Amino acid sequence: MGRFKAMCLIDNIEKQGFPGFISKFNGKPILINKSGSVVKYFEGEGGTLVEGNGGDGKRCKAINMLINVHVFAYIARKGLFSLLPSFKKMCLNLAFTIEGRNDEELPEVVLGCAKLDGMDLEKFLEKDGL
Amino acid sequence: MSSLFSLLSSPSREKSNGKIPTAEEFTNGSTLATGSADLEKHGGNVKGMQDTGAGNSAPGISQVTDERMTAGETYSSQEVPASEPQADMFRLRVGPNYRRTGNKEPSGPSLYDMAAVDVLKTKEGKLEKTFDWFKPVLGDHGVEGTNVPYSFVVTANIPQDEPSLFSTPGTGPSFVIVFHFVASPALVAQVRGSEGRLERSDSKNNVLPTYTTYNLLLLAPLFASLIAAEGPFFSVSGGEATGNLVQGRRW
Repeated sequence: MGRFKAMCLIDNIEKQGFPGFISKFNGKPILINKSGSVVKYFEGEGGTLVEGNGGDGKRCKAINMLINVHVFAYIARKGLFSLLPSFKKMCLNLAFTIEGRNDEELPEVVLGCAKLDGMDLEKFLEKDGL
Repeated sequence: MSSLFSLLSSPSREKSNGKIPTAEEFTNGSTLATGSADLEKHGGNVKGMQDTGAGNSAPGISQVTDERMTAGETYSSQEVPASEPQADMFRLRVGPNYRRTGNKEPSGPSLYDMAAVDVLKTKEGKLEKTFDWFKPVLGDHGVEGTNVPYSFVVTANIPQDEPSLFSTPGTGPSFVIVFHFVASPALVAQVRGSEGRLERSDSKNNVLPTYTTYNLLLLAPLFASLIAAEGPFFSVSGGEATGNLVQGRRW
């Protein structure tokens, strides 16, 4: 079962005019389960990265956590879609962690976090082939 | 012809030199704005990234011949500010007995620092291909000899179209957001200084609480189980390794 969690904390959500039931989910973690997959990259020849599962003593150089929002539950996708036009007015604080369940797995700690302030998605142009 | 827009960000919000090309210039492929994330504190530089022929060690505008990009480059004529917030704004589970108490406290410092955030709009939302476009920030910078990856990337595709109640397409037109993280100096120091143990420090006063250990390494096998991969993502040479786990101090 997946343990990767994503969180989104919206600054000043009370000023965004969202219904109260949405506001109460501000900063709540989302467990990435079936929608998530991880790709590991190892050292290859000539400084390249090779996707794989390791072995041969090769070092893991990078990991890529893929989150396919397209397979989220309908209500989550619907909610996210309704928020997209508001992104340009919002300051989003995102964080990722691994869920700890037993005492020996706690406390949790943020793996990485980022703040996106005023991201206007309408300004992005399309890239073919991806 | 399509263009690719990207967000560049760095913890210091350092951007390119302000001479930002127009969308038309990008469409023509004539120029590419290249910004470098503030990696100095990691002992790295942009040349340390996967070489796609586009790397530059200094902020500024440069010509490139390879369409692929390294993390943090931008085609964008807009500047969308992205930065790294304090990790302690997020409240996370703490023990003991979390199941009973439900206690949450502000997180300690994040284990990985944000290097860049890239965004592009795609027709199919194929996440794996995105990784080929945005080469991650590479390096060792203290994590050599361990299996702690220096680069940690999170890629998500957000559907552009209104979802249907009756279908879950799996792919489709998307905004793809790529978060690039690199091992923080604190993570490196902790991996090195504790021979594999990751100890928690307080972000405000740098005091090491006596009660806990970062359990990323303990959680690593669980992380790996997300895709039923073989072996952990994080294992450390040396230290008190026990199988795939690293024995840390307990409560």
